[in-house]
Amino acid sequence: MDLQFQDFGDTRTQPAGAGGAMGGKHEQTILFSEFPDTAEDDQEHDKLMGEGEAKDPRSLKAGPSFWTFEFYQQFFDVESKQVGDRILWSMVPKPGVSYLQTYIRPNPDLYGPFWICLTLTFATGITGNLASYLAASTEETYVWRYEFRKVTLAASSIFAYAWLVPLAVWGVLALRGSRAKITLLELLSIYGYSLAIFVPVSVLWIVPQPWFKWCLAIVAPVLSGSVLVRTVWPSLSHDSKQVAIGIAVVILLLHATLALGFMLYFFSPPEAKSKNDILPVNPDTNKASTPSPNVPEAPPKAPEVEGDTEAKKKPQEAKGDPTAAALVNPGVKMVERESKEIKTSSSVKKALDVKSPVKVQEGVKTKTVPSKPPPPPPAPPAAPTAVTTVGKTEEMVKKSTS
Amino acid sequence: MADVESSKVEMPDFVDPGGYGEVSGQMAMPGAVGKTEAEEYNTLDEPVRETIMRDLRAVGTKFYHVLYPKEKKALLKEWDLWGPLILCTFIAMMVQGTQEVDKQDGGPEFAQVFVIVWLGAAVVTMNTKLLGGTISFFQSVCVLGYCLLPSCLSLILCRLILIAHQNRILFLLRFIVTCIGFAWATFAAMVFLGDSQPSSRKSLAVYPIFLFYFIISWLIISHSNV
Repeated sequence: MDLQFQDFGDTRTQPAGAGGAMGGKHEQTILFSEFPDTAEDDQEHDKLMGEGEAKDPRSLKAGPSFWTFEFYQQFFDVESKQVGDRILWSMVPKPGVSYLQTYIRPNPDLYGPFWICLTLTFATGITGNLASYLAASTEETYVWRYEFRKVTLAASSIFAYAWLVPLAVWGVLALRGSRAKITLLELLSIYGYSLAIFVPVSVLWIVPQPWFKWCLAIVAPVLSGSVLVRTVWPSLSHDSKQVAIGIAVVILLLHATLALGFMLYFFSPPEAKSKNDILPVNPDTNKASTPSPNVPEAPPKAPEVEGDTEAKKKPQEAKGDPTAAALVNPGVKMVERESKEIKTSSSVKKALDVKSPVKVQEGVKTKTVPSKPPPPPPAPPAAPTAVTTVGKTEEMVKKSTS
Repeated sequence: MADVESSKVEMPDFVDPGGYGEVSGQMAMPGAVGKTEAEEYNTLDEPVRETIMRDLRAVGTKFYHVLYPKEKKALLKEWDLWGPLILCTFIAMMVQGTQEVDKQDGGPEFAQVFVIVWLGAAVVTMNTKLLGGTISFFQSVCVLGYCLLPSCLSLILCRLILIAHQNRILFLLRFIVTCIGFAWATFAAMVFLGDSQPSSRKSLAVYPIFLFYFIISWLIISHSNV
């Protein structure tokens, strides 16, 4: 058998459409235009690149499904230190550093927002109760009435703020065609961490000084709100100045409204939720509970003592009235203030049950008796002494008014 | 072959190889089949008292391990939810607010306490698992429920203290008792659940447990009507 080489000639070597002007027959350039895929090439590629990388493109495309557990695990991919940093820097606006870029960007998480909201719910509920307890009573027999329903209300409002407002902001940014592309997850993270400042603030709100409370209510939302606005600002920068400022102001306002809402609802003085039914029973008997030494000096001393209890019990209520009335007729106004103070402590009612017979005698002189504000601490031990001093009080009253 | 066909071969009877007759009986095999059948037969047959005592003993053992948390496997190996149910029902009954209108006690309702305990345990467990913990759902709920025991004991003590006429010192005493219960419960839960997390996330997993027992302790200390 002979092997003969076939001469294919020039026709096979001319590339389609290309100006392959060749020279003579002996110059043949063969251009390959088709490269059939062979299975061996793929396997080699995989081995060269390593199995992990070959799998990665596939896994990135698919992603864990919404219905699997792993989908939610990706939102909790944080370390303790990261969470600590995020909380700290959400409270303190660090100049020159973008909170978003530095602390949130690589992996925004939902651990922080969820647990901060839950902590804040219970912190406001508990400290609100503590504040009302401390403000309303300093006597030993006070029964701590706490309101569990406030916790449920707190939960709804906090979770609504932390999860619906970012949704709204994201929607607004998307509508305005923002180019900075903050994702919804990042917004949720930022808003969640911005609530972190209210946890220590709610503990500080127990202090019953109103000016201190208002200071906190202004400083806290300003600090965390500024971090919020600085984070969102880059996505607004392409918009017109007015719209951008408008949105920033709305964000700040919502934040401040939340803070104010907390303060006024949970930490308002207890008289705001006084019980009216106690009033008709006690105003007369309560006067009797005041210790005797105050009786002769009732007019001059009463405003001071009242001012003291006022500061403790009703920091914000009717400051104008007492001072004016004290000059004119201490008796009338003091009665009203007293009655309000009485409402708060029902144990005073118990302590004063002893003095019910006295009530009848003093009933006539409700408006004109120069009364002393009831200092709650000595109420129970003062009970026996008060009964004896009531008689003296009455004599004094009769002398002064007649 | 002619010689094969002609001989009569006596084939032994395979059912009765040695000619011993019918042989039957039970063999104590290491395999599972024979044993579980025997056991099921026994547990169905045993008196109810024994069944209850066995469960009670399991619950009691777990209570003991919660009070002295040295060995970790006791609660995790065989979880059960009887103990948490008993403790939760007891706490909810004691802590609920009164129904009388004039007292106006602001305490939680029975159902609210139940929801807090069970939903709280579920949420804490979900958090542990989402952070990458290696513990199963019911094991974690079991541990969290059993670790309510110290809080329950502090509730009983507080209730006893409340019998006396209240003053500041007694309130302080109740506060201290509740704090001890809270710290003990958190510590016990940490001992059982602590190993399931990598160390960089341990405090992230411990904080929800802390919050859970803190809320229960707040419910206990706030309960002050007799």
